[in-house]
Amino acid sequence: MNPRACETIEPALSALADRELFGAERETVVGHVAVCETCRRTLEDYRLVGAALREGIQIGSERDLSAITWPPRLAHAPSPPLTRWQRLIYDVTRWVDPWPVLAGAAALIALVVGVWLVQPAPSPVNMVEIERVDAEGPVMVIPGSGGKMTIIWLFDADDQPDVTPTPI
Amino acid sequence: MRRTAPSIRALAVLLVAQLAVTGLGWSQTPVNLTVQVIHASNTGTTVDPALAKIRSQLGSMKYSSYKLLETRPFSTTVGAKHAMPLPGGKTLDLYPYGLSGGGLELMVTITDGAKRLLDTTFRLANGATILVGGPAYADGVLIVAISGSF
Repeated sequence: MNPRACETIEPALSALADRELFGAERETVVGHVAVCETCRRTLEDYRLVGAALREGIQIGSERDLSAITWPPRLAHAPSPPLTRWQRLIYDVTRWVDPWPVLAGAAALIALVVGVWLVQPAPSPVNMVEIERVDAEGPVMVIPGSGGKMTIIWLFDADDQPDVTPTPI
Repeated sequence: MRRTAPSIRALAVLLVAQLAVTGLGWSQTPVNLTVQVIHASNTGTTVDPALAKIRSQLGSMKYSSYKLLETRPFSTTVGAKHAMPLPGGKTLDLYPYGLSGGGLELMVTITDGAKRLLDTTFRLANGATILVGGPAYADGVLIVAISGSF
């Protein structure tokens, strides 16, 4: 038999064994198998293998699966669903470590508060502010020198100031 | 139990310590007061050269002579009381009792024996001066100049 003819026919033998070959192609392959001992054996092998596979599937489908001892399932309760905030925190902390950010924010707040507490308060416009004056006699308060200096003048009880007192 | 990051705890301790130091430091603020005692009279026309800084204010008074009798600086703190004798048996009491609005809160009394000639409280800005005049002394009056720096 021409070996080249066998190489051409051999791929069609599997289809012939599975009864998937029809028409002229089938007649060609059958004609060749009738005269070629090698291809006839190959066809017989395909038929045996196919029968064995079909029988195995049939046997497998008829097995009692309840006889199988399955591995035990892991016994842990399902996690409750995350709330909206938990999901947000999870999404943020998944990518960014929050502690350096919080530490930096705390340090910034401490710095701002510290500067605010340490800085000197602005000087009053009037550099001497009289809050209260009690005296034995009449008193006159005279602001002067652009508010930088103030005079409190005490008079004797029987003495009267010769200028109008500045209201306190 | 929830755990706090060590860095957060350290920052919290520093913040509390800073606030405590700042708050407690208020009463430890150094205060420098200067009291000048001046005798004003109409005897002569001299003005003590040491009174150059307040000469313009003295010029608005009705006296022709101003003599510096004493200059006494006080280095003190807020909350400390000081008493200073004045000529003629009078006494000046100084009590810096607080700091607010950028000024030193000061209570000043002048007594002459049992008589309270003056009892006043005021706020003195840094570098400002207050003059208290009028108590009779010799042939004129006493003027007390109080200035502060802090």
